Amino acid sequence: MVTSIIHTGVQQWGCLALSNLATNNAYNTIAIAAAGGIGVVVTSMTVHPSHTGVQEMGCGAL
Amino acid sequence: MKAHSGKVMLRHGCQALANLAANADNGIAIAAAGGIGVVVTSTKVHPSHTGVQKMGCWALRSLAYNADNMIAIAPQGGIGVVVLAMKAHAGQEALQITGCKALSNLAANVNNRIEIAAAGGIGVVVCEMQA
Repeated sequence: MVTSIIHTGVQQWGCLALSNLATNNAYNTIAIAAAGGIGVVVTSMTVHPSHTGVQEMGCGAL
Repeated sequence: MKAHSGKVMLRHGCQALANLAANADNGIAIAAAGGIGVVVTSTKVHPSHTGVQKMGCWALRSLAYNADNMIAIAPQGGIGVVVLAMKAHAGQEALQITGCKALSNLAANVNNRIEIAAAGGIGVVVCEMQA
């Protein structure tokens, strides 16, 4: 995690994509977890504590 | 756009459709005129050109604000081209953001969520966030 993680844009909109994909879809929630999606959302929120967009979309995803 | 296959032409064509589709009525009119298929074809013609790919994703994202368009985009190959664009252009921040936005809008439809996952959309988003 050395490049994209510092770019809030990819993190913010990636979180939104994962959030929408997980909505009312049990298979996707499992698939996202299996792909490492939970960890990447938590890392993103940890790295960008003051970025409203990342925090909002990250919370939505989790 | 149907008659010309040049990269610049298709890039600007997709950009124009993306901007026009920001208006709700235009989104419906573009779809009725066959615009979804034109955008998908344009992105397939130049898979290695970042500009065409980004604008194609942007156009599909704008068109997918409309619920009927969300449904129409999937069978025309729109989900696949967005995922392929993101896979082929890893690290291209602007394209990745646009791709994530397109997948977000398309995922508002229940069936599209399944299609996006089947096309590898979950993996490509997670990989890009981790990269």
